[in-house]
Amino acid sequence: MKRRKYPLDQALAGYLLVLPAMVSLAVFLIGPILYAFYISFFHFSFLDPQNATFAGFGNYIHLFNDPVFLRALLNTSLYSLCVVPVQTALSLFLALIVNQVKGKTFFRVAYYLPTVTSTVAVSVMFIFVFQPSGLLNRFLLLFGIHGPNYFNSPSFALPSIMALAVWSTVGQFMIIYLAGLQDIPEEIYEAADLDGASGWARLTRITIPLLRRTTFLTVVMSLIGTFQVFDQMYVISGGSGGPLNSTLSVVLDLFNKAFKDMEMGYASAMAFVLFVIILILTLVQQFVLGREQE
Amino acid sequence: MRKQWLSVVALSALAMGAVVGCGTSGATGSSTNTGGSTGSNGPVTLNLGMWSSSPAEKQLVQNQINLFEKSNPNIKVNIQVINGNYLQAIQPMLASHTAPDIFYVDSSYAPQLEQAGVLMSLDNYIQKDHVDLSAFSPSLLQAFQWKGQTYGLPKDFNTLALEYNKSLLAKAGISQPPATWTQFEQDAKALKAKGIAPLSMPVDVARYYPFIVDAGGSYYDSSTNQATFTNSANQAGVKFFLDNLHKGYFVTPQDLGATWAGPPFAQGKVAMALEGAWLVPFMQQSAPKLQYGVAGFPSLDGKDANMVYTVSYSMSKFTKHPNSAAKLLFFMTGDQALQLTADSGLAIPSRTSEQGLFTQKYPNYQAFIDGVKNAVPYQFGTLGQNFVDAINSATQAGQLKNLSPAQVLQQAQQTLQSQQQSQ
Repeated sequence: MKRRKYPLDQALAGYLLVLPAMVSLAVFLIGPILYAFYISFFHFSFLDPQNATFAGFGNYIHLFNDPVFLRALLNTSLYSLCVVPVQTALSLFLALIVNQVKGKTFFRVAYYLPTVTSTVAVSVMFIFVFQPSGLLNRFLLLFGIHGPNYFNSPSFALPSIMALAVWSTVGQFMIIYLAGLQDIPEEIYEAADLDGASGWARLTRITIPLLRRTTFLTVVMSLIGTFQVFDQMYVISGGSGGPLNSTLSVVLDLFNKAFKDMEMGYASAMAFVLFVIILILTLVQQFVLGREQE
Repeated sequence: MRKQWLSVVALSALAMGAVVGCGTSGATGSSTNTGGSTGSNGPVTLNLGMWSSSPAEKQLVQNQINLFEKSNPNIKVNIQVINGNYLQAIQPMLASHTAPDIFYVDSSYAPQLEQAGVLMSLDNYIQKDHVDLSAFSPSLLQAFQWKGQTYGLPKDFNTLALEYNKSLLAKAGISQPPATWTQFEQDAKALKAKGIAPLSMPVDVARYYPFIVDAGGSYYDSSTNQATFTNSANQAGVKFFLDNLHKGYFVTPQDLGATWAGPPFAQGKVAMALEGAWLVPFMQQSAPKLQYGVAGFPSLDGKDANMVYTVSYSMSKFTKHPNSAAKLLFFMTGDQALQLTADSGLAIPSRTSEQGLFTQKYPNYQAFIDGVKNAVPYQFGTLGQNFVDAINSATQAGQLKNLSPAQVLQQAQQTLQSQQQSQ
């Protein structure tokens, strides 16, 4: 009897110890999430919460008839589709190089630096690079090419922001890949050398397959990050998502709807649709990349 | 065993303490607000919400408050500066009834706040305190009236004027800035021939709307609170604007590597700009040596429409001390406070009596003050940002995709409708 009671006490003490954290999580994270889910079924404005009217699935249905939201979804998907593979491949490439080059630490710091820089500062810097008479166009002019006005052209604005995103986050994923590379046992390479494997075979048969878990992690993280992209678009388009909505991301649209148009219920519905999209994509990836059961 | 339980009890007490502690500290925080809630007899503390475009603006408000506290020793006023996204910050405050007692409200979103019922109607207080509304420029006052009630008093305003770079105009052989848009087109041609960009303005309804009004159109019907983009009288104004963009007489700031017309004008990349008086301090800071003049907004077909941007002091509906707050509000928009505004040169006072004082000291600003006579407020009822986004992106499509004026207006109407279904 006494023995059975003992672990219960301990569990209770454990729960009490985490209680402050649990309470603050419940109050400041889970509570607001549930409340946002609740108001996503209402025509809800911050200004007169008392007069919110029940909308049923109205907000959700309207989302899929809203050309602005659909445009934002298209932009975000395109952005994600381009940024994630490029970012992953580039960070793997950099990690492989940095892992072998002399002066590892210097390159690690150099590539990681953009990640710790504020995205707003990075965006402002890229505005300078992509200006009509900015760094890039001056450089192109040396070859006689007259570059476009990148951020004011509907066809160049989004790709420019993609370049910015890849540049600023590639270092972060490189670090993760570097950690993954350290985890691969040296013996496997030695065994491969004995079997006469070429450098390319070592890369495609050993390194990349063994980095699968790392790849899964980076792809999931980068996908979630790209679907939630906000600051770059906000700074570069001045909050409007222009020109011609070509840099409007889902979160930017959500922000505008919530705080400028004062439609908090609609914006909440948008947030949950985004959540479901990210959830589905992550599950698909888990199925494709993370299937191995060890 | 006993030790175990003791620790559990101690821990739970600790946890309770933490939770309760949070609760009480919150309660004491708010009790400072409720203290002395009865009338204006006891000492009262009021909060004043504002954004601050520069440290000088906060200093100005502080000076005005010092003056107020001197004559009202029972009322203490705290300034609450909200920088960054003001509207985003003020909404949750209003929702949780913790908004400042009186605060800045920009005319562009004033109707939305008025409609939502979060601002106090000032009519009773205006009667009680015998505030003379005729001292304000009528188009300013109008910007804060909704369904026959007054929800704020304007503190200052800005209108558009034509700023011109003297040496660039001289290079093209132009001695006088254009007074009409017909004249402008000739001057622009001469400037372009010299390789000088004539005038920088963004594709923004906040700047080009005067053309629509000059040409007899209107985007908004205040009696029905509806957008009237597809009204055929609007096409002439849009055509005028788009034609000038296509001809390169108007150049967007984006094409000159900036977000508004100030920087390219200061760098001498463009000969003219259509901006408000906010350009003056900017020029002092970034190009103190550049010689430029300020002329009235040119007229189109003999019409002189202009756009006015104004900010009010409004009272929160949830204030605990409406009488004291009204007193403060009327003081901050009264003669004494506005004299300080006029003296500072930071903004153009909303009262006509102080406007004279202002131009004596700052003769440069005359054109901005003249502009208010035929100005429409920058506000489109409760349509707010949806309206502005719809027309701006349609006009931009007109510029970048060569849509006709009719197509631009049609697209704006459609976008706005698709956005409104959610409400």
